[in-house]
Amino acid sequence: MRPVEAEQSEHGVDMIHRLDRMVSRVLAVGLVIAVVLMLTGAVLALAGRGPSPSPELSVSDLPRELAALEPEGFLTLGLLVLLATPIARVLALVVGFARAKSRIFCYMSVAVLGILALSAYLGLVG
Amino acid sequence: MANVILLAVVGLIGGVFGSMVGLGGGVFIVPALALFLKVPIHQAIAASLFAVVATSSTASIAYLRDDLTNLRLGMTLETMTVAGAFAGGLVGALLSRQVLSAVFGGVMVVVSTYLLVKSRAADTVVDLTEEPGALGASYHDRNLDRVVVYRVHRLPVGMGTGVIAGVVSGLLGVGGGFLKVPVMVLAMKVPVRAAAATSNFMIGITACAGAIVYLARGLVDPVTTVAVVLGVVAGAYLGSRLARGVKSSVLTILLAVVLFALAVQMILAAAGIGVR
Repeated sequence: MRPVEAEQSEHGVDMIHRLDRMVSRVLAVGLVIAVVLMLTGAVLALAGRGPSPSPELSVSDLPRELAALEPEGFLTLGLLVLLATPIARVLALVVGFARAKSRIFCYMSVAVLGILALSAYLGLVG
Repeated sequence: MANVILLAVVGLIGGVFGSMVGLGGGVFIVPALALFLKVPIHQAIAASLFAVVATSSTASIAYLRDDLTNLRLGMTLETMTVAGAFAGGLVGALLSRQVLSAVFGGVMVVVSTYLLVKSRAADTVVDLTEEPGALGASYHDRNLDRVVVYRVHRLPVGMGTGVIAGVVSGLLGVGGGFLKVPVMVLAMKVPVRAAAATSNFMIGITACAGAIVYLARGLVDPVTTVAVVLGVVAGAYLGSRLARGVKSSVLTILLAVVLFALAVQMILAAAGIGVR
């Protein structure tokens, strides 16, 4: 029996379904936070608060925009939280597979996280 | 204001269809934004990448609860795909509008043709009792009212396709699901509902890698992107629930027709022929 097949038989269907529900909860929390932030930004923009959002998203102005309750700050933060949900789901999988001692799938999840981190680093400095 | 509502409607439609068939909606959203709403192509692609993340996250909440998503298979394929997406994202920002439109149009012709060919078989399940093996899984099919167990075949083919899907995702602002779903169904023998749900989970991670690059290059318009994303969230929520009751074959044919029409328009636009 190959290693992955041993892991499949050892940890079984229940572990897989528990992991499904854990990742589902992580996605739900991230998505709700992102949507609330984006809707807050939309409401503030409709209320005419602060300058109109610029056509280019800027992370560097985020703290000031949030402190001033400017719409662009909430729109930007909402998009950043949304962008974090795929990363959070992979982190949840790393933890879930590690708890279930599914080493191969845990390593694969870590590899995906590593490439995402490299993407973010090279994108930011490039 | 009217334009913002139209952006949200584009997102809503993309979210409904994208979540139901596991394609993410990018193949609809990019041409709709670029052709009909005159959004610059790179901003349209950036908005689409965020929309794919939103579709994936929203629909996966329901699909994971229904045990339709195969996380083990998904992460195995995603290891290859996310590397390809990173490379595609770097190249995509350097390409011209004409090249992107031509490539995107060509890809969509292939996608729509595949969908039409595949539509008849979409409602057919050949084997419900196969041993799952290392990467297989099981789920309760509401339409069939029974547990479906499946085994994954030809993993190397799936992993090779994963790399190509990743490159295309970064280049064109789509999730790559239009390559992964057919390969999972035809080559790897994964049931279409499980393939769509698994692809739906993966495309969010794939698109994330490309979206980070577009974000860092200042190509994300927050108003356009948020309007599309909010529409997509509503659409994907609706789509993930509709998927339980609608026949896969009917939806597949409808999507193929819409995509083919948009593909023709994109190719004409790339050739310098106005479509409006």
